[in-house]
Amino acid sequence: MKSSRIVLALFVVVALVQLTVAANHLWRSEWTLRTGKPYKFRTRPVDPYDAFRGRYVALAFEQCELPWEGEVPRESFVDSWYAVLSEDANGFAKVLRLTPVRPEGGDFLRVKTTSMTISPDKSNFVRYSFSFDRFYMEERKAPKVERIYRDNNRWGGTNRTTYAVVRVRNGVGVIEDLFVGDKPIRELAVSARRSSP
Amino acid sequence: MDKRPIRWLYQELPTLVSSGIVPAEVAERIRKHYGEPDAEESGRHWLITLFAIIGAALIGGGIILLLAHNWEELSRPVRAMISLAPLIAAQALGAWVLWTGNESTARREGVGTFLTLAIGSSIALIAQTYNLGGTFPDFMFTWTLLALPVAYLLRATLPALLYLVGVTIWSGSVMDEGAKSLWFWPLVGLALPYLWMTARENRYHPRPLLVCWVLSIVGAIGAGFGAHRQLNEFSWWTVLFGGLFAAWWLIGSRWYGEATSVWQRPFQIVGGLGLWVLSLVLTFADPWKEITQHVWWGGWHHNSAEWAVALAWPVAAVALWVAAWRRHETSELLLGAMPVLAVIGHAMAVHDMELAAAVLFNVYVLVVAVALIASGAKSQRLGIINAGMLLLSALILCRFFDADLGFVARGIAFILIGTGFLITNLVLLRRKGVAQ
Repeated sequence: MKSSRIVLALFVVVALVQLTVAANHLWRSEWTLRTGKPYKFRTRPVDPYDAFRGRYVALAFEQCELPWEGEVPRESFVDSWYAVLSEDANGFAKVLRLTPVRPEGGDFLRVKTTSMTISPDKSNFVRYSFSFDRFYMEERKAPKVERIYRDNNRWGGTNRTTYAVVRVRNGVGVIEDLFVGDKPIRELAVSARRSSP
Repeated sequence: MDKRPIRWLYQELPTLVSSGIVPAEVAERIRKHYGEPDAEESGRHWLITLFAIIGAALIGGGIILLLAHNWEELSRPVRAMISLAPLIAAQALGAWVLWTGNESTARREGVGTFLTLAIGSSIALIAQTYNLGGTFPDFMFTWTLLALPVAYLLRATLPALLYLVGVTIWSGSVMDEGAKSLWFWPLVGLALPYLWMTARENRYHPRPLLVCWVLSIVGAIGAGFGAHRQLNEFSWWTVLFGGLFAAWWLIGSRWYGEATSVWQRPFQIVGGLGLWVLSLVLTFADPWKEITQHVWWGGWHHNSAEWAVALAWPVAAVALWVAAWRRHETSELLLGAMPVLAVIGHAMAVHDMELAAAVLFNVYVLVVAVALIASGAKSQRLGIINAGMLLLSALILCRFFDADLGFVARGIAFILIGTGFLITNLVLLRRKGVAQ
C-alpha cells in the first residue's frame, strides 16, 4: 500500500514535469507575443519545391550572415549565439552584430550558427539561422498561401516586399504574422479563394 | 469445451493425491491431457490488452489529427490550452489507474500508450500554434525522455517500446552532428532497468520478450548510426555488425537457452540471422574489394568515443565467446566466432588479399552449415538440419549468382537443392516415426 502511494506521488511529480515542459513553450511564446517588441524581418526566396511542407510555409530571411572581424573563435563556435537587433532606415530588422555571449541589454535573438568562412584575407563570415523558420496555416489555405508566397519570392524577380513580423523579448522571437506587400498572407489567401472559380 | 469441470477436478487433485486415491504420476498425466484450463482465459486477457492499446493509439492519433487541422477560428490562447488538454486527460487517467491500484494490464498499457502519444502531441501542437521552429531531433529527444518514466510508473511495456524506437529515430536524425548519435547507448541504458524489472520473475514472459525483440532490432540500427563515419570511411561494418550480432547470439544462448519456441529467442534469432546474412554477403569478393580500394587510414582522426563504441561490440563478443567456451557450450562457439574472422578478413583486405578474405568466409559458412546438419542429425532434430541445409543452399546459390551461370544451370541447382531438402526431411520423418 505504501509503495503504491510512493508510485502515485512519483507519477504526480513526473506529470508536473511533463506539463511544465509543454506549458513553458506555451507561456514563453505567449508572453513574447504580448510584450515583445515587433520587428519586421524581410524574407528571401526559398526553394520553390521545398517551400510548402504539409501544413506550413518554410521561411528564409535576408538576414542570414554577418562579417566577422578577425579570426572566428573556433573553440567558442558553439551552435548557439546571440544576434543583436536594430532597425534600418526602412524600418526593417537588421542584425547589428553577433556574439557568443548573451548581451546585457537591448533587443537580441538567440540564433543557431550554421557555418563559418575562414579566408586568408580575414574577410570572414558567420552564417546563422533564426529559430523561427516556418509559418503554420490551415490545411485548406496552405496551398494558396504557398502559391502567393512563391509568386512574390522568386529568385531575381521579387515584385512585392514579403516580411514576417516577429515579436522579440529576452532572446526569444515568435512570428506574429507573415505579410506580402503590407497585407497579411491569410487575408490574401481568403481573397484568392473568393476570386478563384 | 466447458472448462468448469476441469477446474473443479484440478482443485480436487491435490486432495486425491494426498489421500492416496490417485497416484501423483496419474494426476500429472491428467494435467497434461487437459492442459491449462486458464489458457483460454489468458488468451482473452491478452486480446483485451491488445484492443486497449489499439484503442488508445487510435484515440490519441485521432486527437492529434483533429487538432493538427489547425483551427484558425479559435483564438490563439484557446488553441494553446486545447493543445494541453490531451496531456492533462491522459495524466488524469494515469493517476486514476494508480490511485485505484488497478492491476489490469489492458488499462495500464492503454493509458501508458495514450499518455506517451499525448506528450508528443501537446508539445507539437504548441509549437504549431506559435510557429515555433525547433528541430526534429530536439522534439524527439524531449518527447522520449519525458515519456520514459510512464513505462516505469505504470509498469507498461508499450511506452518502453515506443521509447526505444524513439531514441533510435533521434539517433538517426543527429547523425550529421558529430558524435552526438552515440548518446543512443546511454539512452537505451535508461530503459534497461525496466527490462530487468520485468524479466526478474520470468524472463520468458511476453513483457521482457517484447522488450528484448525491440532492443535487439533497434540496437543493431542504433549501432550503425553511432558508428556511421567508421562504417563509411573504414568499411568497419564487417567487424562492428559481426561483433554486435555475435554478442546478441551469445547473450541469447546464455540467457534464453531454455527457450521452447522461436518467439522466446529474440537475441538468438536477430543475432543468428544477422550473422548468417553478414557471412553470406562476405562470401562475395565485392565488399572486400571495397575495403581494399577505399579505406584510407590517414583519416584516423575521429572522436575516440566513436571508436570506443565501434570496438566495444567485437570485444564484448570475444569476451562472451570465451565465457561460452569455458562453459563448454560448443553449439554457440562456431557462429559466435564470426567477428574474429571478420577482423582477419578486414586485415587481409587492407593488405590487398580480398579474394583470400572471400574464400575464408566461403569456408566458414560451409563449416557452419555442415556442423549444423551434423549436430541436427546426431540429436535427430529436424529443425536444426533444415537450418543447416538452408544455409548451405544459400551459399550454393550465392556462388551460382557469382559465377554468372545460365538459367539452365541455375534451374538444375534449384531442383537439386529442393530434392535434397525433401529427401532429407522424408528420411528423418520416417526414422522418427519408426522410433516412436
